Amino acid sequence: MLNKLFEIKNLYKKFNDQTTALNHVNLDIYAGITIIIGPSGSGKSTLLRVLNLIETPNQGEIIYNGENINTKNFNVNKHRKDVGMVFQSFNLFPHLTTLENLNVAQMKVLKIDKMSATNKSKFYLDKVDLLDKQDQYPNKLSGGQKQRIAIARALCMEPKVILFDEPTSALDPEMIGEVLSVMKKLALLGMHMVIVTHEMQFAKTIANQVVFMDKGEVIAVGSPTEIFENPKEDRLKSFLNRVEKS
Amino acid sequence: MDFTFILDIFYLKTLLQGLLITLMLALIAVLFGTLIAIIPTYLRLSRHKILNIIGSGYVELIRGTPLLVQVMLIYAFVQLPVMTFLGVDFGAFLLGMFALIINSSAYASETFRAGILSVDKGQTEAALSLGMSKASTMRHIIMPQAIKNIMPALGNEFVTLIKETSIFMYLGIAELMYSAQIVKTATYQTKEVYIVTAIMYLALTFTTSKLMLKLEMRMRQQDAK
Repeated sequence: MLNKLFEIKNLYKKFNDQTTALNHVNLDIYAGITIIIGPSGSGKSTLLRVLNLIETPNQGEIIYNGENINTKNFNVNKHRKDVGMVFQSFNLFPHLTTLENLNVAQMKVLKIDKMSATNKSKFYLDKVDLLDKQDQYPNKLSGGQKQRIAIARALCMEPKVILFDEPTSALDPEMIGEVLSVMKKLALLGMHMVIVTHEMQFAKTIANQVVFMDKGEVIAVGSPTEIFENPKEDRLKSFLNRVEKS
Repeated sequence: MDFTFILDIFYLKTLLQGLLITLMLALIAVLFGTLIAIIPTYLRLSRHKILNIIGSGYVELIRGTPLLVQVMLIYAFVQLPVMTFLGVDFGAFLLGMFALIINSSAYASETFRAGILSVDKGQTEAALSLGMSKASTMRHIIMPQAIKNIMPALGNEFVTLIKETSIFMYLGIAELMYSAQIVKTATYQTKEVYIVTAIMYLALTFTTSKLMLKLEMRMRQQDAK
């Protein structure tokens, strides 16, 4: 069996409006590609967002590298360098060019000088085939281009894991493919990824582990075959039925 | 109506000097007010409840009471005891300036807060997710975007301050309104003097508004690139 990336124990998260997003979740996330699926409002995004503490859980433990990250004295910034994130709405910095978007954290966090940062940025921009957009501002780019740049921006920090929060949900259909193919390329290069997505076909082909969530609980965990071909749980079955019909 | 007093070099000089002092007062107030505003802004955006209440209390108190009352209170609380016990005269100018700066800081802080909160939450999340510290995120990611919303509002605040300086008349500082009193008393042309004074205020505020508009346009253009 592969190494565990995250060990989640009894994780509980309630929002200010009293909705329970995570209801005592226990889950091991292994190295490789983990896909989290489930209906909207199932807590899958919240589960992803607590892994780099963009969202803080109320209770429970998240063990990463043998250390519980959900403690007061934990060095969050160092952890976030290790665990990159790609958002649904891209969140590129609109006041910076593509290159500056990729440079800024390298210079401020890794304390790399501008020259070396630029070199690294160009290397990763080339990986996502957008080297020609290096001097553009984000508002001149298409959604697919923005997301590929956001992926390159995360890669520049040389993270061990990247979290993807519905990376293609805000994209026009014709742009989904270009982003998914970049992610497939990353998977082939051995990057560990935890992905929340509605792209079931993509999930089937790329995942090592699939997690199904509903109403803040993990209902099923397994290989793509176990989850998609032989679903046992009723809630999972009805979810897959609904997804296939649409 | 008789506007011939404008042609008298003494009266004209008095009014123009008043105008200059008005402009200076407003400039100093907006400058220091903006600097001091960082403190209540920080308090109000803080997650600590008590700091939050202190910041909001400060802003609400100052925005909820007239500037004239604030000036008189500060005058009464500081000037008289200091004069009596220490024998030092702070002078009306310093105390009035102090009140105006405090007043300006509360309004500027409200502008800052609104400007910072107008930046999408995703921007903070993205910066933090790259390992950037909160301070670094604020400085390199949030502020450069917020400033575009803050600058126009700060310009409006400056225009308001130009008008507010007229309360310095009560403290015997020779700003425009005080100069107008001098000219009025000497010439008895009450209506005419106030008309000229109003036009002078208008000239100042109108020019400022136009300049701010230009600045705003330039920032928009930068945005569109």
